[in-house]
Amino acid sequence: MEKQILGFINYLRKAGLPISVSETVDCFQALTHVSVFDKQAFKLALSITLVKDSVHLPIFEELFNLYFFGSAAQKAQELGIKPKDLNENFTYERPKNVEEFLERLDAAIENQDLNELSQLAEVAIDIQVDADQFSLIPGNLPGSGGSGSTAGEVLKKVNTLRALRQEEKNTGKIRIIEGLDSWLQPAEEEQMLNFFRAAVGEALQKRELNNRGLDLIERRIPNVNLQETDIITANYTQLEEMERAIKPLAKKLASRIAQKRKQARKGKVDIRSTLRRSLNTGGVPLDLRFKYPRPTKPELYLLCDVSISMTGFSAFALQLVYSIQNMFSKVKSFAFIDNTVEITDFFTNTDFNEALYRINREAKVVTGDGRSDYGKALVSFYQKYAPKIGSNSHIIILGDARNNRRPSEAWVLRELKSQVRRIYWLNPEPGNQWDTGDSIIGDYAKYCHSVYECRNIQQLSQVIPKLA
Amino acid sequence: MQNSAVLPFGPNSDQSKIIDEIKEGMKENGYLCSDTIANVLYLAEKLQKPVLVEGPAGVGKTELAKALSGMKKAELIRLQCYEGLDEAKALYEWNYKKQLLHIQAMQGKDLDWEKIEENIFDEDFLLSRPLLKAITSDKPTVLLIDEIDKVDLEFEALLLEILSDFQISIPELGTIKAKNPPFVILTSNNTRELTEALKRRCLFLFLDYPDMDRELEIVKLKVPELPEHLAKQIVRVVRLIRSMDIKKSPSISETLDWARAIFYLGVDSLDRQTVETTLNVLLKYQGDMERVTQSLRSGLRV
Ligand SMILES: Nc1ncnc2c1ncn2[C@@H]1O[C@H](COP(=O)(O)OP(=O)(O)O)[C@@H](O)[C@H]1O
Ligand SMILES: [Mg+2]
Repeated sequence: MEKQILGFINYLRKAGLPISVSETVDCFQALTHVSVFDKQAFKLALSITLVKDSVHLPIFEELFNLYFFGSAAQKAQELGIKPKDLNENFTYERPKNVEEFLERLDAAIENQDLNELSQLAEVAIDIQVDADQFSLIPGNLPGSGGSGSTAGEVLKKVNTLRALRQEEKNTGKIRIIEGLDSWLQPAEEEQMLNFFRAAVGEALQKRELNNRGLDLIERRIPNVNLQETDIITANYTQLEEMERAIKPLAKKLASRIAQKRKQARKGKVDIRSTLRRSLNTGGVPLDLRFKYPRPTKPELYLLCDVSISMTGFSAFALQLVYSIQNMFSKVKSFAFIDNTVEITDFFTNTDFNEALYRINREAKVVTGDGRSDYGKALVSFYQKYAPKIGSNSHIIILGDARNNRRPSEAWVLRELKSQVRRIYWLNPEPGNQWDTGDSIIGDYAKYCHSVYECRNIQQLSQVIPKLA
Repeated sequence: MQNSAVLPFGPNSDQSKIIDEIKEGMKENGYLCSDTIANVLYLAEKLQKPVLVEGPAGVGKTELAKALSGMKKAELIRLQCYEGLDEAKALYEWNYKKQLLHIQAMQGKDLDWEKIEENIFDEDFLLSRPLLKAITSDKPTVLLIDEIDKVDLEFEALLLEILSDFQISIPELGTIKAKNPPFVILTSNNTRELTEALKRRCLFLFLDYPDMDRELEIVKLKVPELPEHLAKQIVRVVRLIRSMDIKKSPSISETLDWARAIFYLGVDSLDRQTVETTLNVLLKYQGDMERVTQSLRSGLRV
């Protein structure tokens, strides 16, 4: 059992949780006080000692389920590491037939019971149709259910079943929903079904991997550890998941920045001014004067490489920068591949993805072969916009500085550096790849105040607050 | 750690009984515990570790500590954190006025300075602030360190000794160790990241908005005079509003305020009009109210 718990802790560490030795000790201590037959208490003893950041709770949840109930649990059991009772006592009591499934689904929707909905999602993929008969086959048989179908198909099947059942129940009667319920009920049902649909998708994915005999945990860890996954080499699913992770992060940044500003506004006593004032009151400093920190916020100019390999990175960086836009008096954004175009207006009132999609379609960021040309892009930025940029400005450039062996035109940055307060460069490539191949980040770095490595979401969220 | 084939972890028959007792005791003190919360309190007691409770405003973090002190018949000592809170306000301060008076009183008497100094840095001249009070109390205490995210990082360092060893070192006096280790609850709204060092010393409880059943139970507990079907409608509306994209989601306190308001109106059932006219109890921003009203109007069949 110790071995098994230590194995679990190892997976959590791999997934990016900073678990110390003292926390491991606490965990073992806590486990001496709970019964392993009580799933909830067992799980809680692990989570409250090992997980100290709410961001990590979903990771814990997923790994806990995979580790103690998934194929890894079976493997461990075969190896004799695991008391078999543990798994048996943790199993979910599945509905025995379609009728019971539907009843429990309705109840779960009505009671907004998300746990039950997730469990039922795993059952839903085992519903089979043979010649107009619906039946529920036992789960976890090799090759059972799931494979081949999509979440949409499963949901359609379930919806048909629900409609049929509703019709049977209401024969002859027409049910009218009135009053407040006509507002509440459809909205609630839609919400729950959306959740159910997502859960079905997850269940299908897990079943699929399981059927292929893959070790689910090993496969899921890179996904789970999104914060540290390289953005520019992430696959599509990972990007999608990162996208979901970015929103709460942006919110968190925004609220932290607001807090910081509040604290900064307090100011120190300005002795000189106070003494000058005190002359009116016979030298008694009745009226304290305060020194306030730099009152004028800088303007921000953001330049983003939006070529295919950079889109994910630019999208995330842009969202995070916009979350701290209150730190600036104004934010203007520009996109380029080989030509720089202002895109500020794309970001008013639309969602970020839609804006980026439109930018790629509508803004004239390419004039040549569609490959990045930092030199040309910088020159076009300089010619079109530099004259209007004031001295209290920050310029941030997002990109990998892979210039396809074209001229760097780094003089543009040299000129800009003498014109503005700060130039920062955020590079999504690992530091050891800088200035290799066609990367010419070094040429530009000479004229930047700082160049930051921003490979992943974690680094991005640490760097961005420093830019104001 | 021994390495045995049998279960090293006790199938603890007492555990579930104790959990039930905790739930019951907290309920008597006006607080409804989920299984999770009850289990955390149980483990914190067993491990003698502080609990860090994190979550949005109004989900019952502060109330948890209050009810706990009620249940344990322990004194609640509360340290409310705020920007600029310092050692003198949180830990202890030398009562310099009393020290001065003492020195004056000693004048003329034939005492050498060393003797006086020894006297005036005695516990008698110490003003206890919440943290020291909790450590030196003879009776059992619950120490609530509320909204720890509001103080600066440096202040956290001050807490570490208390949280891990239940003791305080005072340069002039030496180390004061707790006679009765307090039950410590820290709360945070997560407006800044707390240090690893602090988090390592605590058990971590994340409190989110409750699920439907529990919120309904809370309403029934706190506003028992409200008919059940109304309570259910209220909770459903609140939950739907929480799912909308608004600036400030209603918390449990707002649910309760709203439930009381609805009760005083004396309506039989919630309808659009009632919801619209009382929205200002539930929501704080004009924009949010408009957003909900709009949804209410467009979604309702008349
Ligand atoms: N589990 C609960 N049982 C009973 N009342 C609760 C519960 N959770 C929250 N409340 C009510 O919600 C109100 C707000 O809780 P509070 O502890 O002040 O929130 P927080 O400290 O998290 O901001 C309290 O007055 C309390 O009455
Ligand atoms: Mg509070």
